[in-house]
Amino acid sequence: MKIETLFIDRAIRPCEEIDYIIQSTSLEPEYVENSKVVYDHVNLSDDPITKGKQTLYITENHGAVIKKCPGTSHYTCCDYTILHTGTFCTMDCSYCILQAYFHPPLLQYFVGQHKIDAALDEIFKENKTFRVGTGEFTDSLIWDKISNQPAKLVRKFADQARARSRSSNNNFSILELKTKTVNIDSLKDIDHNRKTVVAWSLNTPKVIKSEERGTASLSARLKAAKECERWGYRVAFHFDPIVIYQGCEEDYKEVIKSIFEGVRVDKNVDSSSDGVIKQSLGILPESIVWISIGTFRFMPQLKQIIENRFPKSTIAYGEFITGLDNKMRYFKPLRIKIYQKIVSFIRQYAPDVLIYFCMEDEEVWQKTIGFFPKKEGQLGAMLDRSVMERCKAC
Amino acid sequence: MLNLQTTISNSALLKKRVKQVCLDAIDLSDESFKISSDNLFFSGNKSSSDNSLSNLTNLSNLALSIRLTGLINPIVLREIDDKYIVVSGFKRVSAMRSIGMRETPASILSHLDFDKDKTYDFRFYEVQSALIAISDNAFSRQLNVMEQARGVRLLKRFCSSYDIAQNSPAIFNVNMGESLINMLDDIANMPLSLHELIESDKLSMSSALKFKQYGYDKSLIESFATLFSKIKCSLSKQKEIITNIHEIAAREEISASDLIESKEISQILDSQSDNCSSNVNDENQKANLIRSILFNRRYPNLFKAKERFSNNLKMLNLNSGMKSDIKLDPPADFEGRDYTITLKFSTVEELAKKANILSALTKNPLFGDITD
Repeated sequence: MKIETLFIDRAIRPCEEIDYIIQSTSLEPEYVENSKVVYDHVNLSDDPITKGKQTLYITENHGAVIKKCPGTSHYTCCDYTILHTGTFCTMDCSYCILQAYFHPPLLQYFVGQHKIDAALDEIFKENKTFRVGTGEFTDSLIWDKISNQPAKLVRKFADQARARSRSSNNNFSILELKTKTVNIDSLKDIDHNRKTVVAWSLNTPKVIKSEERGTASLSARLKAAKECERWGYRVAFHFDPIVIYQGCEEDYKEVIKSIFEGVRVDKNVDSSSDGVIKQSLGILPESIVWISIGTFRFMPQLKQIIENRFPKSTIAYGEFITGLDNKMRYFKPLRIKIYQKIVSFIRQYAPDVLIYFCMEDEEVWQKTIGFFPKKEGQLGAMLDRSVMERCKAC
Repeated sequence: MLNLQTTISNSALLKKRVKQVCLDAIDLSDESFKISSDNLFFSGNKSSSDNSLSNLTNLSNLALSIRLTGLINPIVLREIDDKYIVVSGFKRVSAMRSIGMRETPASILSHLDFDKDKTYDFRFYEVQSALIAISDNAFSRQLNVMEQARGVRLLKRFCSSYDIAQNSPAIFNVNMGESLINMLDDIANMPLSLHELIESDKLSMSSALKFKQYGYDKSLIESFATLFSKIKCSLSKQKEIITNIHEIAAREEISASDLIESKEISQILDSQSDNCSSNVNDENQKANLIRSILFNRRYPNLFKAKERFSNNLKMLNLNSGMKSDIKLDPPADFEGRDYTITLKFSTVEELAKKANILSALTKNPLFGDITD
């Protein structure tokens, strides 16, 4: 979705970062004394969610830059660390929780690289591994079109690792850029020191077409992943949300096959193509740091938003029950069945790749993977180990 | 859009004169300004035949009152050619006719004849007539939802929802928000068959608004109206039925009408106690059977799991003899892992006996199957 209005917090001093965004969006900015003007612009429109996606507010993050991922006690969390650099998204996925999460839903870019750097320096000092992501409250790479922040973060993480290699501290943290875009150009020539994992949220072509408006196609995402692998990055994949529908198992099997065996790249997804259909190579299992899987779950209030904004979508009409965290989840036997299939498909190609569940309970882990990271922090430690093994410098 | 305050300030332009009118000259078939419900006097969940009977009784009481005391408030009419249409007083006209009265005093509305000033906005006349029709009812008793909806529809032709909401205490004798005004307008624009269901308490306004939310057309709403005319259930169950039908239809890519008119549901709706073996004539029972069918189709795996649990529970025979006070409940929707056993006892001895029963239960392989 195209950004149509640009607001800038008048309290922020002019800087290169802002100039870059103004230039990239080609919009005449409106400077505002306080955020109420922006909130009213969004809230008073007929469709605040769409308006929020078309309105960019450049401001400062007045809260914490670094946050712990909010898990719940009933389901196992991966102990992720969120780097809060912006909010909302220009793409329009029917199931996106951010539609119901922000009040108002608004595209915000937080300036202040110094603040981010300072917060990261603090965690880099600790003798432990942090898996840090910018893709929790926004898509990590939508910003690549209008700002150079993703590239700056990649460099920041690369430098942290070099500093550590000169000390006795062998732990290092990694940045995970999670996306549904193919905005990877700025990552190309960076000396990333393999401390950035570029991750794609994957789904079946049917789900992408019906539910993920404005996102890159599956083949384009996989082609971008292959490109990043060529540039030395480690990659990751998130099958989240898995949507259960008739024939979904075969479709997810095909997606997994495409990851490892490669995809057909046609003219529509490859601007450099001469029109000839090509076969790209698959991703090597050793390049994959982890694959997460999670079936569709949602806060109850999201259902009406989906019904209003995506009247043709049937995604909320699966066999959902109220989970222990009060989110709607597929009836457990259905979750277990699709997980078993997907895990077995992945194992055929990549028996050693770490697969984990985002927010599932002991029964699901036991019946699908055969063990359960019961102790607090155990899942996080497994993921940290994968980081240490796969993200060593090139 | 007209501004209501401006309309009210223009009320001097409305001419009112009281005169004797022949009752035969009043055209009751023109219900343009009708606000009150025909089943005004009845309350509660009565069938349509009950309503008619109740209406007749109350109409007859009104007639007796008029005969005894005379007409206390004159009716309000508008003159059109040689006839009159009613702005307020439909029931009084019917009651007077029923006791053979020939004439009645009436307040006749007309706009002033502005030959010199052609700028008179005739919309003022319409709005002022509507205001009289609504207020005459609203300040003598509380309007029901459909009456409010009809009032809103009359005003919405010329005034904004915001304006109506702002002036609602003076018009409807109750404070109404803008969103409620919009909802009432939505209801007023739905088919008449739905209005009847709402007035007879067979369908709530919020249930009916789901049809608007789902963007249903008139014929689809009529299908739902047929369904709800034959069953009776609470608000939450009405919504459950509408939601499940909508979601099943969307998921299976069929029309909601086809689902409502499917053999399975039609059989229940049309069954009669005297000619049907299933003996399903109670409207509550019909609603529950339809809910069960829809739940099974909407949540087939959960339905099966619940059925399986229930069958296994029967085989455990927890409801016989001493065990009858032991109750086993599964985790909600089988999501968690915690089963709950509840037992009642009045003495320590009884508790000990039941503890033994529970102990034996844990060795029963069927019990293991249930909780696995």
